[in-house]
Parts: sequence; structure tokens; C-alpha cells
Amino acid sequence: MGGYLGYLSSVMASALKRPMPEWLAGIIFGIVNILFFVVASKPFTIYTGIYVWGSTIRDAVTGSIELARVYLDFTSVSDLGLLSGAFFAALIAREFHVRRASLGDYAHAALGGVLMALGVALAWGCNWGGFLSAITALSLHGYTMLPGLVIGGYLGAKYLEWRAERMLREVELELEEVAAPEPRRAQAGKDAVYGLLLAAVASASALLAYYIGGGRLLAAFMLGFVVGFVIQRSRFCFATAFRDLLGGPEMARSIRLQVGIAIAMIVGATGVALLKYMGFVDPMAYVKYAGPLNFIGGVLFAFGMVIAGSCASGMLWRVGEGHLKALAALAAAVATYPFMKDYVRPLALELVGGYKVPLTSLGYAGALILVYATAIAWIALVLYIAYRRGVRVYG
Amino acid sequence: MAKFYRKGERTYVLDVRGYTCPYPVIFTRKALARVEPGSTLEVVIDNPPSCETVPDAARSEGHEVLGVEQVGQGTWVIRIRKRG
Repeated sequence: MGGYLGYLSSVMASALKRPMPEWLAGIIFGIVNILFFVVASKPFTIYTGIYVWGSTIRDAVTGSIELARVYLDFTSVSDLGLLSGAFFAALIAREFHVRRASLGDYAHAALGGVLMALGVALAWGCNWGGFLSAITALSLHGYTMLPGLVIGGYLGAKYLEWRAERMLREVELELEEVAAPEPRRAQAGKDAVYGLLLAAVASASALLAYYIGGGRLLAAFMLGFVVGFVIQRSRFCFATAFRDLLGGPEMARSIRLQVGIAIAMIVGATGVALLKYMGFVDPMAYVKYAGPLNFIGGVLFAFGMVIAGSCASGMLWRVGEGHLKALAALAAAVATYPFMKDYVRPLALELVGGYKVPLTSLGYAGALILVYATAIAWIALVLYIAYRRGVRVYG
Repeated sequence: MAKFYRKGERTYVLDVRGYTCPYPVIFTRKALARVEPGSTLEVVIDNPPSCETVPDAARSEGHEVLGVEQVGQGTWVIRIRKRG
């Protein structure tokens, strides 16, 4: 690429050379959660959109084609925004590229996608809807998912370690000199086709969200776009956050991500408490069932995201970046989540039970003090883990 | 499948394109353990976060990171010298 366009592209690439710090991403996510409440009376979540996509396809197969539904649901539209934002960020940072994976990796991604769908059904949300955004929305179910996420992430890490050992035994050092592989010309064409497809999805989504849904839907798209852009630039991977928390190959990053998550809760809960207190949104808005199911769902979800290599927002980010493996996880989630939500969730709730507990049972001041105290205690705890392990968290 | 081969005198290449976190870091650590001290390992990656996590992991084990170079759209080579 030459001329002014080439110059612009190199300016962008050098400006975006360093990733955005995780704490800054946390502040932005907190603000997005508040604004999402203003727009949609719910926090920023992912899986409701996956449900809309999956059920729209399911219903289309059985004869009732209602594609407009995709542009009438806030979460569906913000998911499209997230994907678009990540694609745009990757493109201007020259990180967009179609990446293929091995068959084994596709299988792991698909299995992970199914486990995540099941986990979300039980926990009433993913890392966002079941945890970060749940606590931001002052609902107890965010806290009951957390221990499950830690345990599931740890189990996933153990499994990956075992798998990496096995894979390494097959990678033998070739002693003879081998010429470095030349990048194939065909790749550029594939990048262009996939990229144009994503660009079409992105711009069509923004337009359709506006024409079918109106201004508020367009706002949801824009907020999703911001999250996608920030997630891609800050590499905000929840899978890493819970996979390497208790010691792992990327422990320092996992600690930084946990600090970012806690900051997002502090910022977001402050605004949401205000919105609920002023009566701008219903105090029970986004308060979901809390109980043992959130814990079980957390374990399944976290294990699934670790073996898939990305969580809910992570798979949308990576689809936007060009990872076909993330596309496999997304396809599995879209295919199975409607069933999990419509059949598994009601059954599990009937068997195990749960209660809708708003943190505002403690009063608004009490709820905020609880969120602040637990977020600060969590930061102190993860930094203590890093200290005990001798990990330098920030550079 | 990851590829690991000798490119020249005391220079090795570990090609982990197609792998996402945490595999690039795990494979880099194992590859560094297998080459002789002072030699150079070139890790080829196409997973953006690995541009930071692979150098961080190498530095934390006392190896020298010679540079991270973008060699194509979404592809990088990280050059690491194993500590002597």
C-alpha cells in the first residue's frame, strides 16, 4: 500500500503499537455498562444476542423467517457492534488476518462453545451477564458465579497443560536446515474476502439497527463497537484472567485483567446505583436468580472458555480479528444455546432452585459499599497471589 | 501443528502460527529449553496478544528479547537470545 493511504496506515499502526492498559479498559467497560442501562435498561451482556441469533436460525429452519428480530434486540445488536469494533481495531492496527487452526483445535473450540452455552444457561450469563455486569447491576448472582469461574478456569488450565505436553511430544526438532516458509500469495486474497465480508456485516448491522430498531438500537450498536475496539486493543481476555490466575503461563496478564474487571465493577455499579436510586430504571432490573446453579454454571463456563481459547466477548473479538477457531466456538454456541436456555435452564431451576436477590436489600449505600469493598478486597487478593508467586504484574 | 527447526548456525525457528493463548508461550518456553545457550530462537506468531506475552515470558526467565518485528498482515517474528 503506497501513497497517503500507506502513510495513514503506518501512522495508525505505530500509534496502536502498544496495547491499551487493562485498568483503562476496565474504566471504559464500567462507563459502557452505565450507558447501556440508560439505553436498554439492562447492562452490557453477550448471550441474549447469541440466543436471538440461534433462535432466529432455528425458527427459519422450521418455517418462520423473521430476520428483523436480529436488529430489534439490544444485545444482538451490541454483539454485532462488538464484532465490528474488534474487526475495525484489528484492521487499523494491521492485526487482521485469517487464521486457520488444527482439527483438534476446532474440535476443542466447538466443545468449549457447547460447555459455555450450558454454563451460561445455568449461571444466567457469561463473564459479563453472569458476573461483571451482574455485580454492576447490583444482583447477587454475580457473586455466586465467581467461585465457579475460578475453579473452572483452574481445571481448564490443568487440562491445557496436559494437552500441551502431549502436543509437544509430537513436535520434534528437525536438525537439518530448512528454508523459511514463504508467505503464500493466496493468503492476502483470503484476508480480503473475509475482511470485506466482515465490513459488510458491520456496516449493514449499523444501518439495519437504525432503520429497523431506531436510535436506541443504533446506540447499543455503538456501545458494542466501543467494547469491541477496547477489547481488541487491550487484549481483554476473560479466559486468560481465570485460566492463569493461580499460576500459569500468562499469570501477570491475568492479574492485570482481574484488576481491570474489579475497576469496571466499581465504576459501573456507582452509575447503575444512581440510575436505580433516581428511579430511572427499575431497582429489580437485571436481578437474576442466585443459587448453586450459578456456581455450577461458572465451573462449566470457565472450563469451556479455557478449552475454546476465548469466552463470549472473546470469541466475537477473535471472529472480528480473523480467527476461524473462534468462529467454530461461536457456531457451536449459536447452535446449542437456544436449547440450553429454553429447556435446560427451566428444568435446572425447578430441580435446584434459586432466589432473585438485589444487593439493594442492604439499601443503596449498603449495596455500593459491598461492591466497593469486595472489588478492593479482590484487587488486594489477586495482588497478594502475585506477590507470593514473585510475579511482577506491571512491567 | 507447530514447527520447530534449525535455520542456520545457532539459529532456530519455532513456527506457532494458528495457535492462540497460552500455547505460544508454553511452546516458546519448551523450545528455549531445548536449544543451546547463546543461540537465537525466532518465534513466528499470528496471535496479537502473544506479541506481548511471549517477550514477557522470555524476559521473566532471563532471556534477552532482541525484537518483535511485524513481517506481514497479522504476523510477527519475535527474536529471543537464550541466556548464556
